[in-house]
Amino acid sequence: MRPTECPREQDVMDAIASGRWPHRCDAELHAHVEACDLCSDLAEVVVPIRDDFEQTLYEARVPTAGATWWRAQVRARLEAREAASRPIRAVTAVALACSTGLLAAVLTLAWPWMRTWLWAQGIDAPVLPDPSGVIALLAGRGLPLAIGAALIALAAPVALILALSERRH
Amino acid sequence: MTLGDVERLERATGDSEQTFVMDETTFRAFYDRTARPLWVYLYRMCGDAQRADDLLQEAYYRFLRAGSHPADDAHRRNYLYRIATNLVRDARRRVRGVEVELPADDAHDAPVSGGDVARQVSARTDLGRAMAHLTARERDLLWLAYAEGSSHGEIAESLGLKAGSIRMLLFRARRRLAWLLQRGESRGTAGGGRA
Repeated sequence: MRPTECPREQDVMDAIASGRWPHRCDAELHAHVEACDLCSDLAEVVVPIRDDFEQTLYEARVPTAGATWWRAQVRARLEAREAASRPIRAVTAVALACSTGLLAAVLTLAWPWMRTWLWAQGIDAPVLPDPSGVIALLAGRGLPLAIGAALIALAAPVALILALSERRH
Repeated sequence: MTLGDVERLERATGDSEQTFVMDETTFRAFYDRTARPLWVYLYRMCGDAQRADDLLQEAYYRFLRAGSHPADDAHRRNYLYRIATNLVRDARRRVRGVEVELPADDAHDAPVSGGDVARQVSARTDLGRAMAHLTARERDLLWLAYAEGSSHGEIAESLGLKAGSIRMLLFRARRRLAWLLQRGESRGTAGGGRA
């Protein structure tokens, strides 16, 4: 098995870090690096990486700590606001769904009376299916069908509102 | 929206003042110590200064939003680097399949001392080219070990690796980079390598 470390690695690292490598370090270390594959690889790699790091560090332009803190605060506030308004939006969606369902039920039940009134005004309104017939049909098909229809009627407006609110964000 | 809703929103907004576990003074001191090296790390790992700016902001935001931070500064720094490393990995995944552009090393207009300009630009370009041939993990390892001077334990903490595996991984990465740099120097002459 080939060795993966050399006891002189730290000496080479220290010489590079202190800027002594390659011109101001002793000949003995030079001789070791030339003879040792591990240390020659180390010098080959560490010198350009450290030079690049120091140069890029010198050139780096980062925002101030204050600006970063302020941006983080603003973002946290927006996210907190969003999180706080989420249950309100859900309740609004459910309320709207209930209102829509209620309105549809009232309109269906009141339609015969409204149609008579419209006919008296000279408007020929269409005849809606008898709601009692629909209820009888649902009862005939069983409870699951009725529950399914109720769920769809309730979920559709909720899904619509949630989809629209997601798109807005 | 009712009055109660408004009050609730205001209360939630006010709460965010205390959302960050770290106070502003501590954050400023920590940021001043870590921001520039972290930016360089992000820049070298993603190869784009604009993306490095965005990732830097995101890394500090996630760091601040974290429920608790390690008590001592070294672990705190490793934790920040772990967040940054994960962000870079996510960014890489998003652009997988797209050829990574080499950093424009000569794009900066910072002054470099007279006669060394050509040598430095050449060395940095060679390094950039060679690093681009390494795997993302190899780049992370080499940069943390030799640019940042992190210990094996710190590298393991920052990259989410086992401390015991760092020595071998670093050895392989170093060997590969040395070979790539030597190949770059002797390009046009005899081929071959050790990788």
